[in-house]
Amino acid sequence: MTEYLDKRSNFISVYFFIGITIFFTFLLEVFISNFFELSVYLPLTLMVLIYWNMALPKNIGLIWAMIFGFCLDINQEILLGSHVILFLFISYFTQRYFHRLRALYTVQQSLFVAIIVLIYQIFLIFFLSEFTDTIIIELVLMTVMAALIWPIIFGILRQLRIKFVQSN
Amino acid sequence: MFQKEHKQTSIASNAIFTTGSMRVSKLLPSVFITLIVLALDYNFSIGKEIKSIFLNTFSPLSNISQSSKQFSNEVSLFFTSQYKLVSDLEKKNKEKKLLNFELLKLEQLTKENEELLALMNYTKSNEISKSVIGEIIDISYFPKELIGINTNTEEISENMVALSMNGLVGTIDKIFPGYVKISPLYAKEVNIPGLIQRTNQNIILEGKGKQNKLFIKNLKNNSNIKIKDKVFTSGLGGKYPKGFMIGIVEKISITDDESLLEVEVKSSSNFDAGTKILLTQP
Repeated sequence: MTEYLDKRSNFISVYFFIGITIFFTFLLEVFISNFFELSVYLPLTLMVLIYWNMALPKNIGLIWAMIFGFCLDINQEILLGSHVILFLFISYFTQRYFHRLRALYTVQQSLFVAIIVLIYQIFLIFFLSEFTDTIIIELVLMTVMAALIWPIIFGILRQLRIKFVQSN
Repeated sequence: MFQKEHKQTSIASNAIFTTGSMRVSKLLPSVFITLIVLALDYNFSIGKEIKSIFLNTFSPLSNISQSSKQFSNEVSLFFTSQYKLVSDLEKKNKEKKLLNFELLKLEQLTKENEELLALMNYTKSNEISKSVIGEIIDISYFPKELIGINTNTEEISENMVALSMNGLVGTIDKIFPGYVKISPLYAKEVNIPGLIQRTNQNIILEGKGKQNKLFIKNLKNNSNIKIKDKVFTSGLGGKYPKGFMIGIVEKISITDDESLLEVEVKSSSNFDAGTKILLTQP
């Protein structure tokens, strides 16, 4: 019934375009996390993954979630699979309810992303076992920042998608 | 046209209450694989190995970026008048580093000479009849403080005491071939005949294993002793040479039966300072 929403034209290039955007976001996230050296950081890779899961759920699948989840695990030297599990469940949830998420206003989407980011960060803190004095402040700060940044990420990726993906 | 718009609106309103084509059955294989990886990493910590492999594999890439940056800097410098200046500066910096290293060595040598001079002065004292010098090679810290020294053990007896450039530091704990272990003055069951400088009263100091602390044994309640009184070795008993500072009275209290004083002396010896030790016998 919902097939009309997802065109599967030129699947390979769309698939790799998604991968490239996530890859660059991953590099940016690694750079930012190394630069500021905080226990909690802005999960840009997750936010881009959420966008693509909402925008093109048929094209993205779960492979990119797994690949970049493992990359983040290796980069942060935590248990392999910690990020992957979280990415998989978030991808599943987003792909399952993408119709409803797409229909939300930007403010509502920001709120949804903030909640997902908060849960994700709390789980990661338990995986990393890094409990510092300022962790709650950092957690709140990053959640608020994720909500504020979401419209920007959404706008940029939407423009990229319109320019490169649909023209293929 | 109106019919088309009506159709789109009804599709959109329906879409909000529908779910995507993603099913749990699609998710489960990925979750299963991830859980296997998680378990493997938890048991065999393969994550660290993978990270090191990644770093090793991609190290040429990072080296390329570094060396290309260096090469471009060198090329641009070669064509400017600054080139000679920069190479001269680098040469001078290298020379400076070498000279600093030499200076450090000389400073160390001076310290060692001062230490040896201080120790040699002890040997000139009439109180010391026999002495052997040794070099500290090993130090273990509180609670079981010991110094290991390398020396000629043939001339050493268990009655000897250890002196550093700061004064009396300890007694011989054990003798091994070519190696002696020294325990501090405040080690347990060490008794030192002492003298209170202000009153010339002979006393016996006892070590109880408390760091830098000695206790005066059996001192009567009416004894003339004050805080900050200096305590020296008396030379009685023939083990410790006379006239070496042991410490300063730090705390005076009365025992429960009020017949004796409990006096705590802070040891002035710096047990682990210096590099040389003189083992002496009065």
